[in-house]
Amino acid sequence: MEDSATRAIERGLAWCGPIFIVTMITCWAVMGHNIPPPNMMAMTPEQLVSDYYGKYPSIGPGMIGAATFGLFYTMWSCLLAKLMREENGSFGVLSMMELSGGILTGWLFAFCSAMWAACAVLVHQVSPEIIKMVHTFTWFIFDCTYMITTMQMVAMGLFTILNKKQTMFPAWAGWVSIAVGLSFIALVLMPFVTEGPFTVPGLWNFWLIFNTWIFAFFGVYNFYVLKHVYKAPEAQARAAGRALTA
Amino acid sequence: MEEPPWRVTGNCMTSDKRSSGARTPPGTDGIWTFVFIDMIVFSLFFAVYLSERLRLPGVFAASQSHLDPKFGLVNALILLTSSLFVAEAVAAARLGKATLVRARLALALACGAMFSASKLTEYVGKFAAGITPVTNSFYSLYFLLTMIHFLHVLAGMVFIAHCLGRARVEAGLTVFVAKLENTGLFWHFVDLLWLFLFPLLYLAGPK
Repeated sequence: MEDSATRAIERGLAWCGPIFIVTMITCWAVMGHNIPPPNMMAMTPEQLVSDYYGKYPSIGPGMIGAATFGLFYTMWSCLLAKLMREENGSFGVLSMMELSGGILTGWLFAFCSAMWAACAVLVHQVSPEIIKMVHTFTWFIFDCTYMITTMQMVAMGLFTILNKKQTMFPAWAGWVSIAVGLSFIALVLMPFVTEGPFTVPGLWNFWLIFNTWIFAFFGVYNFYVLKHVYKAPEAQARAAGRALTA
Repeated sequence: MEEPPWRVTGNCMTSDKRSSGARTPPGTDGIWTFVFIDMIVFSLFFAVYLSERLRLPGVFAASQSHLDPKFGLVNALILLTSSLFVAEAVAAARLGKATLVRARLALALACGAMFSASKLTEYVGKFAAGITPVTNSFYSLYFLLTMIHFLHVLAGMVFIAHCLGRARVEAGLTVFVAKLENTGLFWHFVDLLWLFLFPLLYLAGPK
């Protein structure tokens, strides 16, 4: 493939990051009425139906939109994996960890959103107990498999810190990525608490974790990736640590 | 004969750092960045704790009364003592005294083991009394904060053990001094964290 085509594709993939954020906020958060999500562990099945799924008709279409755009995260992660290649151009273990995490995180967004869409569409056709079971089961999958994204963030952080030849990402971004990824550990409490900061809509498990993930990790790396893909090829190679210093 | 630049003499850290006559902070940039970011994460946890304490003052007061401040105080004394040993090890490393480095690091490691035993004893007592991380908000925060801190202690012990193992061969080398300074900074930070956790969890607030 010609270099110009490769560069165009990479720039397109870089913009998948901002597209993912805007569409997920619109579809999953706003249309899906997840600011914050309902505290299902403290709600009866009837409450979940009357106060959430049965109350907001935009949840179904919003979740289908989220299922569509969730994989834009994976496409962005593929570009990141390419940027994280070793000096000889091969994909090292950190690149593979990042890519694995990006694929699974994107899948989670798509799959879980589709499940919640099913709850919304079928809310008046199945019993509230089944709605709550599917809703809760999906949140357990979404939140409690946090190690998928932690793995990706730790891999990116380690690459950023340990690869002294790369100047694409500053070292502090790597440390922040690791710290934010490890802070997800509090999600282990989510299934077992009905009130407080560690519930699904809690101060730590929703507000802090989601916002730090979006702004302190995803936003930061998005910025530097976009900056990188618009550099000239020689400057890109130098920044990635794969060429002799000019 | 001039000493090679990679060997530490006297109380000099590295010859290049001394060339300008200015003292530089111990450790590398990375450890300071890590400590700063770790401090921010814990500050967010503290903010959440204070927010919950304002929301549920009765629950927090009642739950806090079940914690034994003696455990917290003993742990604070253990960690402070271990920090002294680590600081002495760093000073000995700068002088190239391998035996003293090893002795002090071994004592610091012993203190870490004592802290671990104390912490585990406290956790076992809580679980035996039916108190778990999901009992209420206070205990969720208590277990989460102290367990994350405990993981930091265990990581610090691993770093200290590594330095202890390498001291016989590497004591006196600039690279070893830098490594030990980084380990020391991490350990002092872990100590400092407990000095915040102890009053916050065990002492502060109405009884």
